[in-house]
Amino acid sequence: MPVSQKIRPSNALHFAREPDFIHDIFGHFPVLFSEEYRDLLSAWTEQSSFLPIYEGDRANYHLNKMMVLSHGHVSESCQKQYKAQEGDYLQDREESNLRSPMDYSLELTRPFRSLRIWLAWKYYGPSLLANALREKYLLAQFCRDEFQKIPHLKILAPLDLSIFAFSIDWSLSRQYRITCGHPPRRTRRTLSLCACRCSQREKAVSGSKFALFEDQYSSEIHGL
Amino acid sequence: MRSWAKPRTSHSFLTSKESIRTPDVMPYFSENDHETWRRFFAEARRSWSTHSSIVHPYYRDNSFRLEQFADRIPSLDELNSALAAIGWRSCYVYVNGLVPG
Repeated sequence: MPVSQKIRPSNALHFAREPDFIHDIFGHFPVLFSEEYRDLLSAWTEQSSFLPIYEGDRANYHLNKMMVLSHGHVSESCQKQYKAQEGDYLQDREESNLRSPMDYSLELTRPFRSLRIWLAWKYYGPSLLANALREKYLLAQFCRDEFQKIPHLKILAPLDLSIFAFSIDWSLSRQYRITCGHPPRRTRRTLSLCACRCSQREKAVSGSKFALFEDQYSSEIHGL
Repeated sequence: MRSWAKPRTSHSFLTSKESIRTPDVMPYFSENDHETWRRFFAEARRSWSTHSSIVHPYYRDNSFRLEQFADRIPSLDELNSALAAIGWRSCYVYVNGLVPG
């Protein structure tokens, strides 16, 4: 059981910027005494050791870290080359109307990556979970391809299973700037147009969610 | 087993710059750190009792094992002796690149 050699400062009892000694002991130590959990952990480790690690995984990791760093708000400086020097680890986002992929994404969410994916895997089994992930990936791939055809949309990051991030170049979309004054409103209008375009071409896309990060967006696609 | 299907060696997915190593110097926890630990422990105890109905049974049934560390931050030896019952051991790690050192 790896444990950190750091401990959080006394004035930040409920939050550590990174996994610290308290996180490791309070989070990992007790459950290790469950035999069933240990078996699952061993099986998970054994299976994951066979998985190839692609460069894209590293890019996604840095994207995750970047998003965590900025509390779900992708800032332009962090966006550059996915280089974030440090991440706020497991930080609860401040109250906001904005949604982050961290709220609902299987792939970008730290809790999903650990406990929740484990529980889903345990409950549904590997084949059902793999099928669900594959279906989401194909839908997101289709939607990304459709978005790429729209001139003023720019895909920001490699496809990360059901998640892709994109930005809108308003200089190339003057018509929306004129017709829609307020940024969130024109954003919603553009996004709904994009979603309609996808829906019209392929009925497989029945719904979509978009999250706004300043002037950048992320989308999650749902199947029927 | 096919050659490409061999399991990775431990942490071989990390680049050379991002290696996991055991620190040369054991960490020093000040009395302030121990006080932070005790405060957190008191809050955790309250949380366990308040939310016992929604805590996962794997955790809830074994949280009492932390009680032996209530007074001070446990040393690696103390952790190891506790983990010996299940054949595990603990080690300090420093993961460069994954989290800020």
